[in-house]
Amino acid sequence: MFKPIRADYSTIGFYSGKIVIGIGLLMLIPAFTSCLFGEWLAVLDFMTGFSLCFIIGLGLQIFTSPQKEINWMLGMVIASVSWFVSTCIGAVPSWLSGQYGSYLDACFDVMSGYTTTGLILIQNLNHTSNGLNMWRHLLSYVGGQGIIVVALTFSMKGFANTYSLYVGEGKDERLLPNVIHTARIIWIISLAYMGIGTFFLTFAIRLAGMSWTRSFLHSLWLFMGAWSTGGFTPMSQNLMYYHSSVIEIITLVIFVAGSLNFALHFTVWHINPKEILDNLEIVSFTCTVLITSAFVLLGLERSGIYPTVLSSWRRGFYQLVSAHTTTGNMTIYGTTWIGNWGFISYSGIIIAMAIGGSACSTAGGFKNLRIGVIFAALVEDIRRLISPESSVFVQRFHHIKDQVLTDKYIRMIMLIVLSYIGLYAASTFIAVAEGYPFLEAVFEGISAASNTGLTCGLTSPSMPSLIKIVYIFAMWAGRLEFMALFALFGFIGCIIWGRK
Amino acid sequence: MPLFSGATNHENRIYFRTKKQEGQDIMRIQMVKINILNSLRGMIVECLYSIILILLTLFIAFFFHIALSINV
Repeated sequence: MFKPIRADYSTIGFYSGKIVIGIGLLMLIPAFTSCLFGEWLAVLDFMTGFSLCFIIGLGLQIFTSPQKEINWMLGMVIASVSWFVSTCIGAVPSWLSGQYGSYLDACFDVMSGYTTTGLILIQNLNHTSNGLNMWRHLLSYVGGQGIIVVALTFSMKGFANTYSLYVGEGKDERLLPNVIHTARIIWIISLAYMGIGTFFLTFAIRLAGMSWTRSFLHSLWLFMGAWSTGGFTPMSQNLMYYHSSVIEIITLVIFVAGSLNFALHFTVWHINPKEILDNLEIVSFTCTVLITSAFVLLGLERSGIYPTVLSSWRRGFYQLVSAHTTTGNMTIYGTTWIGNWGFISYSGIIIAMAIGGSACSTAGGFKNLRIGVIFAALVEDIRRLISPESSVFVQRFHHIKDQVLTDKYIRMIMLIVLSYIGLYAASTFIAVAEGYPFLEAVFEGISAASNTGLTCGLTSPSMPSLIKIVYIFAMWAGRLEFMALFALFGFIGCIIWGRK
Repeated sequence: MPLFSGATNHENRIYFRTKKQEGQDIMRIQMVKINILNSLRGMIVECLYSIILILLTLFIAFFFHIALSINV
C-alpha cells in the first residue's frame, strides 16, 4: 500500500470543488421559486447555502488542480467524497429553514433525497415553503440521475477518464461510447418524461380539486419523486392525501418507467422497441413482480382487511410496485404493514424492497439484472450436473445485446448482492440493539439500505442518533453500490497505514 | 440570385443560403422529427408494459379471491 501523495488530494479536491459549485447552482432554482411566492426567509436560506457552496467550491478550484489523471481508485474516491460533501452542504438551507430538529436530521433528509430513498425527518411538512419543497424534490430528481451525471453534463467536458466517476456512482453501462454524451442522453430521457408526466399529473390534480398553480407545483414534485423512485411528496400523508386512483395510476406508470435501465430506455426509444420483450432485466422484473404480488394479494385476501377485491388489489399492488421499484410512495398508513397486513403480505413487500429496480436506473436494491443473472447461472449449473462431464456449456443472456455469462461476472454480481445482504443485516441488527421490535427493524433497515423509503413508523425525528447515522450510511452505501465506498475506505487505509 | 444589383458574393452568401445548406437544414429538421416520434413510440411501449403488469396482477387478485371463496 502506497501513501497517497499531494497530487492525489489535489485531484480529489479539484473535482469535488466542481461538484460543490454545481450543488450551489442548483440552490438557485428553489431560491427563484421562493422569490415567486414571496417566501423571503426561504430565499435567505438558499442564498446562504449558495454562498457557502461558492466559497468552498471556488476555494477548492483555486487551491487545487487536476494534477493526476483520474484512475479507477481516484474516480471512486471522488464519487463517494462528492456524495458526502454534497449532503453536508445541501443540508444547510434545509437546516436553516427551522423545520428540522437538528443538523443531523437535515443531513438525513438530504441524503434520503440524493439517494432517492424517501425516508423523512422533516417536521410540519404540510406547512413547508414552496422553495424548500422544490429543494427536497429537486435533490431527489438530481440524485436519481446522479450528482456526477449532472457534473459530467455541465462542467466536465474535456476532462480525461471521467468514466470511473460515472461508474463510482453505481452506473456501469454506457449508452453511447462517450460518457459525456451518455450523461446527456440520461438527462434527455428524464426531461422528456418530466414534460409528459407533469402535464398529465397537472390535469389529474386539478380534477382532484386544487388550483392550477398548486396543481402544477404538486404535479412537478410528484413527478420528481416518482421518476427518481425517491417517493418524496409535498404532503405528510404521501399519496393518500390526494385520494385519487387516476393520480395513483399515473405515478405508478412513472415510477415503473423510472426504475427501468437508462440503457433500455435508449434502446427502446432509438434502436429496437422489441428489446422490452427480450431483455433479461425486464423478464426478471416481471417474474419477481408477479411472484411478490401473489404473496401480497394472497395475504390481503386471507386477512380480509379490505371490503372488496378491487380495494384490496388497489392498495396491495400500489405498495408492492412502489416497494419493488424502490420508490416509497404510500397510499396506506405506515402502521398498517405490521398491524393489519399479515405476515405473508408483509414478507412480499420486504422481498420486493430487497430486490429493487433495474441496474443503471434511479432505483436501488440488488437490481433485477443481478437476480436474472444469478438465476441464469443456477440454470447453467443444473444443466452441467445432469449432462455428461465432457459437455461444454456457454450460457448466454440478453441484455441490450447477447452476452456470455462468465465466472468473473457472476463473482462480481455475487459480491455486490452479498454486500447488500450484509448491509440489510447490519441496519436491522443495530435497530434491534437499540430496542426496536425485530419485524419493524427488518422492514426499516431494508427500506433504508435498498433506497426504498417505505416506513412502518420507525423512522421519526425522535429515533436515536445512532440509528439516524446508520441509516444515512446505509442509504449512501446502497446508492453507490459499495464499490466507491470500498475504494474510499481503502484510500483512508492507505493514508493511515500506507508507506511512502 | 443576387440580393441587389452590385452586391458582392460575400453579401449574397450572408443573405442567401446555398441549396446544400437548405438541404442540410431540412435533413436536420427531419432527424429531430424522427427522434421525437421514436421517443414517443418508446414511451408508449414502456407505458404499455406498466399497464400489462397492472392487468396481470389484477388477474392474480381475482384468482385468489375466487380460489379462497370456494368452499370445498
